Amino acid sequence: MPLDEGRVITDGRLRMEYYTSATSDGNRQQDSMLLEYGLRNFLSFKEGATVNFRLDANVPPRISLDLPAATVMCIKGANGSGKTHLLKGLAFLASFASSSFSTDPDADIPVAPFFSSPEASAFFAEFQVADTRYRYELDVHASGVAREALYKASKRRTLVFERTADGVRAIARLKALETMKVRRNASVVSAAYHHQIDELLPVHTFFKNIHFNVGSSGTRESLFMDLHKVAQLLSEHDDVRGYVEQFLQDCDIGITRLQISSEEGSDGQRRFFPVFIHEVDGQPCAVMPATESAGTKQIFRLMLPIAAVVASGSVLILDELDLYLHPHLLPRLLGLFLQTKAPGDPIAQLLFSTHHSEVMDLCGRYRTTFVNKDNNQSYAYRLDEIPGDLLRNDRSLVAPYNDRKIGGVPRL
Amino acid sequence: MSKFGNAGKDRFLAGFPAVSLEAADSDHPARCKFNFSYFTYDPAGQRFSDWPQDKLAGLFDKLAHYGKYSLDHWKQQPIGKTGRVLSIYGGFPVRSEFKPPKHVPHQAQWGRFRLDWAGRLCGFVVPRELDGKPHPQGGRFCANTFYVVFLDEHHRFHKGAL
Repeated sequence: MPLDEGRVITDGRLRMEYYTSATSDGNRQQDSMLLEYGLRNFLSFKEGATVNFRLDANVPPRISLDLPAATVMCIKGANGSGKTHLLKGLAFLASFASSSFSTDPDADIPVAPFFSSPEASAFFAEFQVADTRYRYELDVHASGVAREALYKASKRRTLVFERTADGVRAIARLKALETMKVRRNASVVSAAYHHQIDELLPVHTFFKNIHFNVGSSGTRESLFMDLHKVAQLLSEHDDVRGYVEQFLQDCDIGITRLQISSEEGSDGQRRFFPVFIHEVDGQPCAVMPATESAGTKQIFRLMLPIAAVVASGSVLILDELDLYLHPHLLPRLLGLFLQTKAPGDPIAQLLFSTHHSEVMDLCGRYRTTFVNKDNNQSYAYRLDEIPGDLLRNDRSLVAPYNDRKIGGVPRL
Repeated sequence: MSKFGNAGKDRFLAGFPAVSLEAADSDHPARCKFNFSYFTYDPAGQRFSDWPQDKLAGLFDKLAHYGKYSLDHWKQQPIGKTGRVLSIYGGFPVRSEFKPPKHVPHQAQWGRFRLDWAGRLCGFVVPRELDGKPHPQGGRFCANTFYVVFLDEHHRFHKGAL
């Protein structure tokens, strides 16, 4: 079946293109990767923080997969250190860049500066789409955008547009941006999408395809943590239901089949829900969500966005990946993102937080970022930024972590 | 600092040790060790408690300095007109006011560190041929360790030697 039918299974691999209304507009992204993002004056980060996915020539190929950036990034830190805030920064940026045009015209921008600081919160993301690298910058108050800019680089970096209090100035072929009406609480990128200015489409699509399970203060809520919405989507995409069912079977949690059922609610709407089929003494036994294990339901929820992102090659942000899950399942989940890619394969990236320590050894120092807090201010560092040979590629990260030598642990 | 820099991060990363035991340029294995488990009192010498605090402090300052290099290094370092910081004689000195203690192994290679004009730190090292060899009870012999046996404030351990 051709791709434009939305979903096919080719060579045993899922080729679902899009799975939500948010991505059902047919804009298939070219190969894209998030290279780095950063934030400042946002939630517990008074000063700056960056999450760097880039991998240089020093990184062994078994880790880099011969890609310029990591396909997984583990965020670790003590409770209250700011892990979730670091994830929320990217969720906010993605949400604001792609969807702010559709928000209430009178609404404040749902950005949360460090302890109500009057300064603008600042964000950036660097990413590549095909052979072009982009840098998107945003300085924003709740009352409106202070600055928004996009740079583009194939060979040399050029400013595509810059929006300030004085308006928008743009390169010659995007002069339409200078006359386009943009509300104070909406991004140029999202407005350009609605005005069908195709030059910014790769940027809009990149941000729109970032999915997350952390609230970004309400600008674009994730669908996939709602069991019923997940069930409804799976009922519409049998290939994805099969993919999720296969993963549930592989996890040795006693599931032999995943069935999606529905009933009519009191409001007349159909309500979808999963039915987990276990086999007992050779007989199928149906277990409803109310009595199914929390871990099984969590895998059920996670697999939809994972399947979608792996198939389409975009970015997934998962806070507390290990919630309800046995630690042995985590390598299996991460393995979906760590497979070697053939040229032209979609490249999916997973940014996740966890308290599970052994995952660090799976990710290694190039793909693990710690968040610490000092004087109630968060800061972040990738483990390969730690100087010297305290951390080495051929040794476990867990021992120095447990010895409290590399941070990321509570001061008890 | 750049816009997305962080002073807390910079402080944290700057606090990591700048050196490593495993670094190619580490001199850790070459640094000599001092062991005091064979220390004993001889009427010709002194107990630690006989030395005033400032003299003991001077001794430990010297030990801290000597510990930065190997015993072979100190055997080469000149001191005075013709002496060396560390001299290894071999057998127990014949012209000595000290008596050979029975708890020191017969293989001991006796010698002394010079502390000041007359002060000496006397003891022994294991023979070179045992260096690195395993012991049946575990561990390995180390010829880069100086086993301190006597405090010799008045140069009575090896009379006539420098």
